[in-house]
This record gives sequence, structure tokens and C-alpha cells, in this order.
Amino acid sequence: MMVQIAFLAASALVFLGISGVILRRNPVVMLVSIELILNAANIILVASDRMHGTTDGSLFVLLLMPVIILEILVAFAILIALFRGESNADVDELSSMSG
Amino acid sequence: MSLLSTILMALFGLVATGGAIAVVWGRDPIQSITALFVTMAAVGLMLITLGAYVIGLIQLFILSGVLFVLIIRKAVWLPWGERSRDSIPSTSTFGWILLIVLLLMLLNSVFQTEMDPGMYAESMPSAPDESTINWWYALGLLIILAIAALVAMRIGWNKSAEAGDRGGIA
Amino acid sequence: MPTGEIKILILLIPLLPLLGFATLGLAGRRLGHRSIASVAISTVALSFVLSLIIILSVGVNDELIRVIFLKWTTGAGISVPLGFQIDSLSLAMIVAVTFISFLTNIWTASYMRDDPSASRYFAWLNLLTASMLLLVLAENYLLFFLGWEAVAICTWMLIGFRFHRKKSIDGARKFFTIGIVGDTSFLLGIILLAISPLAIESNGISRSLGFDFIAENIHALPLNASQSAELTYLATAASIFLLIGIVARSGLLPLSIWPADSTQGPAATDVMVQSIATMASGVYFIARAHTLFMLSPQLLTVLAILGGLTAVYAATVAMVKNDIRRILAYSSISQYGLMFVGLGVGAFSAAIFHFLMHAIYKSSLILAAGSVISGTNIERDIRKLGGLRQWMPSTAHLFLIATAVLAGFPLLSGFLSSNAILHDSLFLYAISGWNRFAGVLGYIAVFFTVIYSWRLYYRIFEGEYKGASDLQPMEASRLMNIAPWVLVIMSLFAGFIGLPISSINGIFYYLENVFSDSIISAREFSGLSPGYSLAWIVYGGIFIFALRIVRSIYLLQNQDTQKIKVRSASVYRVFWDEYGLEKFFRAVFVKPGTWFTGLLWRAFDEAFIDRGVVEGAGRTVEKMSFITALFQNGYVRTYAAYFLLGIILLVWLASL
Repeated sequence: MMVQIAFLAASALVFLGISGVILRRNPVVMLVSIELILNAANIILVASDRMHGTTDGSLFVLLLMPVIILEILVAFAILIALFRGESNADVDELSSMSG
Repeated sequence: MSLLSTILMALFGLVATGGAIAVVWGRDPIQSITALFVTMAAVGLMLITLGAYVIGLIQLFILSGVLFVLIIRKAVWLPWGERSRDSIPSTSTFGWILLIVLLLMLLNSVFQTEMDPGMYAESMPSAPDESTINWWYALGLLIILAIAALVAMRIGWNKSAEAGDRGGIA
Repeated sequence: MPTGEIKILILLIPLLPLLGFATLGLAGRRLGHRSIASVAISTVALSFVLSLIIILSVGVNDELIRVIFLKWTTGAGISVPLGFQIDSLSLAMIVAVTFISFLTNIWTASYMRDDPSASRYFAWLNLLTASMLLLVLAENYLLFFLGWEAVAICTWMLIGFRFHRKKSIDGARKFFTIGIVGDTSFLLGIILLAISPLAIESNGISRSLGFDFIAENIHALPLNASQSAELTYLATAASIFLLIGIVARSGLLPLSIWPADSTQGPAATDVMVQSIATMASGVYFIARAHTLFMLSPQLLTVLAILGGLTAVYAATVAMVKNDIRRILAYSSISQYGLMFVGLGVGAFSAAIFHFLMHAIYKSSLILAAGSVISGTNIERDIRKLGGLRQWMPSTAHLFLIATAVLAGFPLLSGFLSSNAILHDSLFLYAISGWNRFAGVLGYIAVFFTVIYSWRLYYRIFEGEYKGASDLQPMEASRLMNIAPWVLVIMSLFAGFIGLPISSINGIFYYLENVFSDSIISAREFSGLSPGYSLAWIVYGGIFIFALRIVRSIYLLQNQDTQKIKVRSASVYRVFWDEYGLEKFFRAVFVKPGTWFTGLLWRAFDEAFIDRGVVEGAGRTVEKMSFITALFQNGYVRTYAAYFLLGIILLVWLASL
């Protein structure tokens, strides 16, 4: 039952994360939503481990954590560079590479 | 035993989900970031409940705490713009349709899946016993409270963070 | 001479001119004219000396000496050794080839004295000599074919030597196109031979294509007619394809349209093509592979008749043409026709005898014609010549003697050799009436031969000079005249090797062991047989009769001759048009071919490939990228939605 709840929560997080990416225009919020998705992935990996008695998933989570941190850093660097000097951080204004 | 872990898991799951909803519907980015911090802490607690102690601790402290600090520090460098304009979630019809489809798929898969422990049921690491759980949970809750207090202080400290003022925590 | 020494010497014989080709080809530009000529002449001269040494030391041998340099077996199990076979036939041929090539090179050295592209010409001339030597010495069909093709390439290069002139290019292209058809057929014949039971070696698995090997296999066949059908079909089919190749190469009807147009290069090219190399390869092949052809006697008879028809055809056309070298080319076609009469009838030794004699006197004629042309400021039309005897006495005398030999003045070499063939076809062991018919055709050709040859001489050297009055014809230089004089003197006496007298160990005796299995084998003469005397008398009669006609037409312009000219105008036109052969080929092959390739070019290559495929690919890519560009509106969230779409699809697919 516990594992089932974990999966349920993870699914909720995934869904909310994806909708955050699609629905919000502020780049920071989009990034944060992506973090939600990654956390949901963590939960699923460990819950599957608990369900099957393996430890592979946890190992993968260990690998995943530095990735999460680094990706945040890089993404923020890009965002700052993109929106430097703008008055408003709106992702919809980055539409010049069209066609 | 399993009842306790189930209840705890449900509790943390609710907190996580609530935090995720706050992320998506946050009024401004600071709110979303704070909500993320809460969600990640809850996820860490869920991991601990599931039995992955080390990972759960890392998640709790490093990911949620350190990451939260990092994000806040960086986020203040970005222009905020008007709250009202940003906070309304919007997307094209295409996006709404896809989100609904995704929701349906997730619900479908979650409620259809058999949670079968499989043949390793006997060799599963048992949930931590009450004594350890108490300590872990006390520690965890303490830290959450501490950080939440810090954040509240911080936000109250410098209300002009919303206006894009540099301030910076450290 | 021990075999080891022979091996080295015989290898050197084709190798030396090959080295000459390499030297002149690579370094010829930098050498002075003297060096170029010396390199070219010396390689061939050395080969000639070596051939003489070998032929004198081997003597008359009953056995065949085979010299193998490299053994090689193809993946299909056919063994193709790089080897030469030395018997009387090949020795006679290499002596003849090297000798005539040597004299031709000397003549060319004088002709090309001031020509900047001399090294190129000498290089190809040397390679042609080397290729012909390889062809003659080859001990198997495939190596022979290599020499055959090499001869074709060299001929093509030499005909089109003056490549700035359209006529040269056209002539070369004509030869090459017809040659390709023939060569393909020839190769097909070799392949059929290779898959036939004749080529299987004693171990039953591998195959060999040696001339001698296959001849032995044929000899070992049971004498009765119960050979397997497969063998008969394959052997006959192979022979037919091989013969088509020979028809194309030696200018027999109907593929006799190329030698006349091949006379656009220097005169030395004509010598090689007509007397000793290109057209000769066909004759040599039939002599060499006669055992195979004797399995299909009907084919040989067809060949004889074809040769007879060719002889008559070419002789009549030669009577009405006006270009000196074209007349000589038709003369060669006619004489080769006569040789094929001999080959088809089974008189192989006689045919080879005639071939050798023809090589000598025709080379002399061609070189003398070259002297005439270069001495009259490149005038090739005999209607504009005449009376050149006063300016070119030496050339005139030599031309007169050579013409007499060609026409068949009694007891000169042309008379003796033509008669050998005609006699054999009519009187000796004639197995079918068709052979006699071929012989009759030959006599008819003789009649016309006398006419055209004397006509040529009279028109050039007698009468009045009809050329431009301000140009003075010049005699050729001494150096240039050496070669034709040597040849013409030889042609006076060379015929004696073929006198049908038993006390002379002549050419028939020499070639006997090669052709011992032919129908007409070694002659046994007890003096002049009645048949021979009759043949000689008939020939002499024709000669005198034709000579009288010629004299009356060309020298004594009286009333009767005028009437003859008027009445025969339509016949004249037929001859002039070469019986419409050229027009036929143009209408049937050239025009549709050009139309078809034009179609392929415009409709297929330009329209389909250039515009349709190449440009079409570009346009398609452009259109598709236009379509895909519609999806790229630049909004990050739209792209995120696309991601989501992909995720949904993946999850859905994974759940299936």
C-alpha cells in the first residue's frame, strides 16, 4: 500500500510538473516544474526498488542527483544571459528562431 | 508497522502534491521556488519512509536545502515583471488537449497496475522500526521547520525582493 | 639452340618494341628527332635480327616449341599461361612483321622529319609492332585476344593520329565502332569455346585454351559423326562468333567499309593496317586455329565464298575511285578476300604464302604512294595527277614494278601466290562445288585487279600533268625511297619460295607440319602438274586481256572507248557508291543509333536525371523543409508541448 501511494504521488508530481512547464510563461517557474518531474523520477526509482527488493534504482538516483544540481546551474546561467536587460522575463518573447 | 508507514507516506504524499500545485499556481517565482523547496523536502521524507535512508537524507538536505538556496540566489537576478500577467497559466488548445490526455493516461496506469511485491517480498528491507523512525522524522521535521523559518524571515526581511532589488541572501 | 636461350630471345622479340613504346611515350617529347627515330628503328631492327636468329637456328622442325613464362589460373578454372608457341607459322610471321615494321619505321623517320608529334607516332607504331608480335606468338586464345585488342587500340590511335582533322577522327571512329562489334563477337566465341568440352583438361576439372591443346583435343575426337550434339553446337557457334570478329577485323563483306576511311593518317599507318598488322590478324587466326574451323566445313565454305565476293566487290570499286590511298585500301580488301578464299577452301599454306607476298608488294605500293602524295603537295586525287614520271623517275619505276607484281605479271610473286590459291580452290582436292565457285570468283577478281592496278599507274605517271601549273612535283628523298625499293626488289624474287616444284623446299614444305591436318596437305609435286599449268595459263590469259582493255581505255582514247564510257555510266555509279554499302550502314545503323542516343541524351539524361532527379531532389527537400518549418513557430512552450506529445506516444506505445 505504501508503495502504491508513492507511485500515486509520483504520478501527481509528474503531471503537475509537466503542466507547469507547458502552462507557465516565467522561465524560473518552468525550471522549477522540471525539478518536480525529476523528483518524481527519484520517487519512482526508489519505490520500484522497494517493490522488487533490488538496489539498482537507488544507485541510479545517486547518479541522478548531481545531474539535477548541475542542470539547474547551467539553466540559470542561460536564463540570466537571455534575459539580461529585459524588463520582463517572459518565455514567449523568445520567438525569433521561427520558420 | 505497515500502517504507520502507510499513513506517513500518505501524509508526505499530500504535502508533496500540495507543494507541486503551489508551484504551478504560484503567484510569482519566489512563491514557486519556496513551494518547490517544500515539495522536495516532502519527497525526501518519502524516500526515507521507503527505506532509502542515505538517498532520502541527501535529498532532504542537499537537494532541497542547498538547491533552494542556489535557486533563490540566482532567481533574484532575473526581472520579475508584473505578477498578474505571469501568474495566469495559459497555453494553446493543443497543449490543453495533451495535458488532459496525459492525465487520463497516468490515472489509467496508476489504478490499473497491480502492486505486486514480487518474489522478493521476503527479502525486502523492512521499513525502519519505530525507534529509528522517530528520530529520523524528528530530525527531518526540525530541519524543515528551520529552513522554513529562515525563508520566512528572509522574505519578510526584504520585501523589496519582489521588485527586483538585489539584496541577496549572502 | 637450347630452350633456355630461345626462351629469352623469344621474350625479347615483342618486349623490345614495347620498351620502345614506353621510352618514346614517356620521354619522347624531350628527345630530338634523331633520337626518337633511332629508338624506334633500333628496337624493331633488333627484334628482326632476333627473329632471324631463331628461325635460322630452329630450322624446319616437326615439333612445336612452347615457352611458358607465367602460369595463371583464373577463378573459373581456366588456365591462361603467358606463353608463346614457336612453330613454322609463327616464325614466318614474326620475321615478316619485324621486317616490314623495320622498313616502315625507316620510311617514317624520313616522312616525320619535321613533325613535332613524331615521338607519339613512333611510340604507337612500336606498340603496334609489339602487339602484333604478341598476337602471333600467343599460345592460347586469350593471350591472342589480348594482342588482338592491343592491335585494335594502336590502329585506332594511328588512324586518328592527326586528330585535329575531322576526317581522321571519323575514320578512326569508324574502325573502332566496327571493330568493337567484331571484338565482342570474337570474345563471345572464345567464351563458347571455353565452355565447350573441347577445352576440358585431362583432370576433368580445369580448362585450358591453348591453341595446340584444343587442336589435340579435336584430333582425339572419334572420327565418326557421332559426336555429342553439345560439342557440335558449341564448336559451330564458337566458330561463327569468331568468324564475325574476323569479318570485322579483316574487312570482308559486309563490314568492309572501314579500310577506305582509315587512310587519313601518315602512309605508314596504311602499311601496318593493310599489310602486316590489323587486317592480317584475321588471316593469321584462321591459319592458327584451323583445326577448330575444320570441324565446321560448311562455315569454311561460306568463308571462301564471302572472300571471293569481297575480292570481286573491292576490285570493282577500286576501278572507279580517285583517291590514291583509297584505291590501295580497296585493293587490300580485295587481296584479303582472295586470302580468305584460300583459307576457306583449306589451302592454308597457299593463303599464308599469298599473305606474305601481298605484305611485301602492298607495303611497297603504299609507301610509294606516300612519296607521290608528299611530292605533289598533298594531292591525293589521281584526276589531278598524271605524267609524274618525268619528275619522279625513281618512284615511277618502283611503282611500275610493284603494280606489275600486284596485277600478277607472270612469275612474279603476286602471280605465284594468287595462283597457288586459285589452283587449290579449283583443281586440288576440291570437295564441293562451292569451292570451285569461290575460285571462279577469284579469277573474276583477278580480271578487275589488273584493270584497277594499271589504271592507277597510268593515271599517276603517264599522260599529261593535270595539276596546278605553278606547282612542281618533287621526287621523294633518297631515304624515303629506300624502304619501298627494298620491298619491291624483294617482291620480284620472293615468290620463288612458293614455286610448285618439288626440288625446292619452299614455303609449303616449311609450313607442312603446321597444316598437316588440313584437307590439302603437303604437296607432292612431280614437276608442274597439269592442273597447275592450266591455272597459270588461265591467269596469264586474263592478265593479257585485261591489260589490253586498260591500255585502250586509258592510253588510246579512240571512239570505241568513248562509247563504252557512255554506256557504262550506270554501272559506274554502282561501283562508285560501293554498291550502296556505305549508305546502307548509315541508314540502318548510324541514323537510328544517333537518334536513339540523342533521345537518351535529351529525354533521359537532361530531362529525367538532370531536371527530374537532381533538381527534383533539391525541390523536394525544399518543399518538405517548408512544411516542417511550419511547425517551428519559435515559442518554447509550443516545443514543450511537442515534447509532451512525444512522451504520450511513447508511453502509449510501450503499454501496447
